[in-house]
Amino acid sequence: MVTRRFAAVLAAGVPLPALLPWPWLAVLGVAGFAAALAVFDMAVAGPLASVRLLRDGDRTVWLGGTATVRLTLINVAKRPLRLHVRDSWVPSAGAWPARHDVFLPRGERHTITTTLDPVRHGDRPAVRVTLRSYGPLGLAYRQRRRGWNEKVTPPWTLRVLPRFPSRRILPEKLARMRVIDGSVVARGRGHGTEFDVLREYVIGDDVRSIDWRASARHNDVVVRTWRPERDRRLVCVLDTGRTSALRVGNAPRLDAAIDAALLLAVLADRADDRVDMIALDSAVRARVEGGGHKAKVARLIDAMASLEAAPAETDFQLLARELLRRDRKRSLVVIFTALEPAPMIEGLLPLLPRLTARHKVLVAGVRDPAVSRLAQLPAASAADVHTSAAAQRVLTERDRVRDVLARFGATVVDADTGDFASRVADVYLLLKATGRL
Amino acid sequence: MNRRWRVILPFSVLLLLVGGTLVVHAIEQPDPDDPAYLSPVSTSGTGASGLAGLLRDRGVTVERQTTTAGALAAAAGGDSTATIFVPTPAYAHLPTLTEATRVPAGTRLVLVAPDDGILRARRWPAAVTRTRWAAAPTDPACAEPVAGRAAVLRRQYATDQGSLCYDGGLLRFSADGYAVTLAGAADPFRNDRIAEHDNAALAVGLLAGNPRVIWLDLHALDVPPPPPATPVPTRTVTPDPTEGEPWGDSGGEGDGRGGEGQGDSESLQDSPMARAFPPAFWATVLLIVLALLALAAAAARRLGTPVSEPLPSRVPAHETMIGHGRLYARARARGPSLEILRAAARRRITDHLGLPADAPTDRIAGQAGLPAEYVRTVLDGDLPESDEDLVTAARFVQDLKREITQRPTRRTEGEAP
Repeated sequence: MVTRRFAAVLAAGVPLPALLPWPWLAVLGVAGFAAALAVFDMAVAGPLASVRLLRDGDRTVWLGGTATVRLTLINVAKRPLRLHVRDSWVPSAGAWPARHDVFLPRGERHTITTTLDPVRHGDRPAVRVTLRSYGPLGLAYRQRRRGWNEKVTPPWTLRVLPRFPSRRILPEKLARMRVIDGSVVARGRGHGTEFDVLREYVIGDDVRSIDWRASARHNDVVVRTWRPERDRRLVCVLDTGRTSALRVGNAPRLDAAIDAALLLAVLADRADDRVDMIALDSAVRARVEGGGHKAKVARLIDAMASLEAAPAETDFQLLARELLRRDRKRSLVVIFTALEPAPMIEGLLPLLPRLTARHKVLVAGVRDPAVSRLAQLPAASAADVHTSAAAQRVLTERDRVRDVLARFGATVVDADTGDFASRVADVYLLLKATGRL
Repeated sequence: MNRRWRVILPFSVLLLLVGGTLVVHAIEQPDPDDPAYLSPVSTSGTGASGLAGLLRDRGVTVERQTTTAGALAAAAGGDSTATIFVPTPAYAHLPTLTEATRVPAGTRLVLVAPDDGILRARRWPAAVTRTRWAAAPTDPACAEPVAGRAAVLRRQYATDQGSLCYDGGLLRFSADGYAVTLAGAADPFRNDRIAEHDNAALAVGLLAGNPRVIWLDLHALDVPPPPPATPVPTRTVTPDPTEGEPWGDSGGEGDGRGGEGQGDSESLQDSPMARAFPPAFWATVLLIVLALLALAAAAARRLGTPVSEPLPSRVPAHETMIGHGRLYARARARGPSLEILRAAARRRITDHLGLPADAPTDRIAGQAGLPAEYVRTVLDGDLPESDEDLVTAARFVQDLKREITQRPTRRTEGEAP
């Protein structure tokens, strides 16, 4: 194919037919000259098949961060290569720059760096590296078809981990956890219901915790210490159905749920509880179960990264089947969903009595702050009043859903996106502190 | 691939249907090139041997001629007046017929479906107003009907002199010394259609007016031999200088077909446009066009096509709610809107005051320390009549709610605003 320079050569010949006595021959001459140059140029351009491509760089990045992936080009031909390279990723990977100009002498290698600013979490694949080899005159180039370029592209996938804005409240929650744990001296012994150890009385200990029977056996006053239960089970259920696909603020509702689930998982992991995760809509999309404590949080984050909301109705029957399996021990089940009347009343409610009989159920619904804001709208026009009435209607319906769920034995958290994660974590800490897990 | 087929398939089916219909229609149309077409000696469907037989039965002599000049000579000679029947007027050399002065008075000329170009070239007072997809049977609906209902309306003619029958399918007028008849369709004359409707009566009626029918059976363009083609001096109209000039008035469309090819190739070289600019100009234009084409080719190929991916939903969670609000506004549902707001405020207030949800308004007022009249107006007042009333009422409800829930001290003071 020809370049703009080829058109410029033709344009440079434009005055010739007017100046020379045989205009048609002049046209033929100019066109022939340019075509001959272009053919020569294309013939001596470096062959595309002799470029070897290698890739390395980041495999994972937190959403909001920047990743770099390097692409190394090696020239194995006997001729130098003048290349234009385009490293195409999916648009949501935010790859730039779009084009690299590379000159590769024979046998040399050159590394180009693609910077990625992803805009969504999940797997962001590199799609295609397009190569274009120019001749020395820059009049013509070689470029192969899309299929060929896709075949020579070294595969690479960047896993973008979900946004975790609740990281900033994690220290506060951990501090409260340590108070519950008793590892920080706040007031007397650590809270909890599980017997920990007997130790000698020191001044300041609560006299009510003196174990008289043990003191009689020893020659000293001995107190009992307690600690919160450990190795409790926590199941995070992420609803990836249609209600989670809707946008709250600027992101899908699912993102807020993932954020809260991550905070809960990190807290529970520190408190030595076992965290499992199930993500489901019409089918189970992800499942993290079992495994050691150490790698658990990393596995959870990894599984949540690839979650995407699907436009499907959530099948709570499926959830019940998962949770009521015989081998599943009593757990705290946190269902991250939206408190919409239809899926809750028709989907979850009929199953709730069976679930609460086996487990402690916490239903956490992400609220849209816009609804509360619109309900309080300063009534400036009739349209505002109508909008406000519609918003009040939504709020009333949600309150009713909340009441019904609570009556059937579930604990309900209904909070705006801003403090949703914090509220869920608070409920967990409260349950932990009062030994109700 | 799937998506591409989804686009291509309906269009190709549609194209096939339309194309197939056109092809079938074209095949079904009788071809004037076909030697059988309206020939008195052909017994095929498109032939007209049946008509010739009917004419002979009526005692009319049918003379078949294969050149225009021969037909004219036959009409001029003979012992009685004749009807010249031209089934293919596009092939006949009509100037030979119409510019002759030798035909006896009363000679008739019957043409089958001549097009607009022929009529204009002859300067006859007729024009084609419409050409139908197929011939339609119509009633004669004119002063002197030849026959009953017949399928002669395919080309519809209009005129300002002469008589029209069959809704424009049959036109009769006199011009150039003939009584001219234009039949709008070939159907009444054809063997396979002559039995339909009253076609036979119409065809026979048109042709049997004179004792002789001169049947001009032409299936290729009839070029007059050179000696008859030089009756230029006999043309009493002005010797037209623009006749040979292709850029002039397109006056002779029907009669100049033989010489058209030569005229075109000569005209290109010495057209005024070509003479106005030197070849160097044209060569420069060609080179500029080539350069622009090269530029377009250079810009055409992309360095890799754009990449697509599925996008997440863009629907905001409160879309249904906004839609509800608009529906209320559209329906001017002022009453229901205000009722919703009042119910929500009442629930909030009773909740705040620790009353049962269905507490009467007076009890709310008493508990809140507000005048019962005021609270009753706000929570149980009349439904608003206008948008202004609605806004005011909504604001009162909101104020009352704020007053009770956000300033608990006012309760003890017991003062009304």
